[in-house]
Amino acid sequence: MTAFAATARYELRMQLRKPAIWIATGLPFGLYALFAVLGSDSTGLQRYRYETSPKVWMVDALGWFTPVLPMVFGIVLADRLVRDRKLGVAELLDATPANRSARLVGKYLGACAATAVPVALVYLIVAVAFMVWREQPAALWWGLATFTVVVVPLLLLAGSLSFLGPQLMPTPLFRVLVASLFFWAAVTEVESEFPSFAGTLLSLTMDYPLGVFFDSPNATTGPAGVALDFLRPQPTTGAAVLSLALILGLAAAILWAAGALNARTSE
Amino acid sequence: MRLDTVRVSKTFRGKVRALEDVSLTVPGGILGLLGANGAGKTTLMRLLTGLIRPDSGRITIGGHDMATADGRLAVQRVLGYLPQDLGVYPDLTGRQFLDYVALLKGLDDRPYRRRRVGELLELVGIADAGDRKLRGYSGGMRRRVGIAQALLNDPELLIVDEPTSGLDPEERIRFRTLLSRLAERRTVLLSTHIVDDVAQTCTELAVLGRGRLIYRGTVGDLTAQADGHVWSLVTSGQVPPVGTVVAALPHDGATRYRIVAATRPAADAEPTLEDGYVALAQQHRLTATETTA
Repeated sequence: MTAFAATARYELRMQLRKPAIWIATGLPFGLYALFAVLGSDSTGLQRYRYETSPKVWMVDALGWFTPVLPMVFGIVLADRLVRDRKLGVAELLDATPANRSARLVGKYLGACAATAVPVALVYLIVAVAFMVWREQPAALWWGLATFTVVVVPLLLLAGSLSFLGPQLMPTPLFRVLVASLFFWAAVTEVESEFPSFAGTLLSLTMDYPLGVFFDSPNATTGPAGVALDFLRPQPTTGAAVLSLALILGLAAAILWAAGALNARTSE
Repeated sequence: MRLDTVRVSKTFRGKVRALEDVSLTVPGGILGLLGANGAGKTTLMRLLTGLIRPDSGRITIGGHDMATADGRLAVQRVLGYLPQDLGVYPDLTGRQFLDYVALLKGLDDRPYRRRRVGELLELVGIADAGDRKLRGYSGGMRRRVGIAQALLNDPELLIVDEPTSGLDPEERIRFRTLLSRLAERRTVLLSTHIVDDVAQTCTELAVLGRGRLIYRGTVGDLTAQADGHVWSLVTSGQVPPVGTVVAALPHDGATRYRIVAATRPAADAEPTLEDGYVALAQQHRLTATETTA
């Protein structure tokens, strides 16, 4: 077994055992579920009583979660890389013949995969509920598609930031900053007085993929006549693919920087 | 496996000079590396494991040049390393932790890996606790896990940094015996500030002081350096203000002091390795003072 597979497997196992990932994910989902049940005809679950499209159901479900997901991911992943040094394990592992880059990527993907599990479970429950209610197995397919295109890139971006940030500042401070960053990025409006990534190719609510691939009516895409409009091209398939590529590319670049900094620190 | 360092120096950020011109040869067998805290032992260990690179000088191990990535990889394949500050993942069991390290050391064959982990858990005496989470292990038990992980790949070169710290006397004796046995067919570098560990396991030793190699030779020769410098004195009054007190024991309402000093404050005694080490340290400090003056 390669160093990559071994590290990914054990990181997945350790992260899954961490109560924080279940609490941090369960808490916002629990609140959403409460609001959905108690909400009015226009804001709660009641508005879906005539809904028959699994695509709309799954895309809307994702719309409830995406604003907080990157924040949750960033917070629960923040200690994964720096903890090896804090625990004193790093030196031991660095002295093995295992390739450091392979270990880094294994750790990253293992930790991200474990962090995705609670979200995937909740999303699966939502999909199964619709499938049973409307006898629409396609809900599972739409669930898988939206999860892969929207949640996974967000998770990978938040994960790489969480591998880099805590090497530059104390982990609690990073958690506060990442929460603020994602809150700002997810909540500010396109027309906000402050420059906002809302509705851009780098939108942390994945507006372009959601709007173009899944026809989400809530996705903000296209020029709005405000700052950063060069990042708001017309919503086309190419723009949506570009958005995904930018997010994934950014995640890869940040992870590379995290790995380089980690190697330098161990010297 | 032969190990050579030639004029190796290392300075850390902040201009802390950790090692200076250290040239050391270990042809095989077990070598004790003694030195006070901050003498540069851990830096030397980390250089030998390929974790850090020297600023100048050359390190070759088993013919492999540690300046090259290939050389470091070749050495790490046959290396067992127990770092001074050993950490473990508290959320894994002892068995899982060893399995993980074994995988990183390239033990891909699952049945063999399992068997090897089981054998080592037995060897270090924690087989019963192997399936318990590491967070519940005592310091000594964690140290034993550290020893087990160092032996996973049946290393040709074993580097152990302060291996007995945190072990109780019985565990310490057991570990020393194990180390001596392991040295029969591999190179072992035992770094410690506990003189007794070296006295009980090594015939050859090196001493580091302030980043420099100040002694390389046999345990017997270093002990002999204290000949005529070890004194025993029983008093209930003040300790003579000369030399270094290496032991103080209650004795018939007074205290028996064992003192290493160049000048004679009392009746003489038989030197031990610890006395030799203290005499060497005193000599080194004298030299340093004279040089500065």
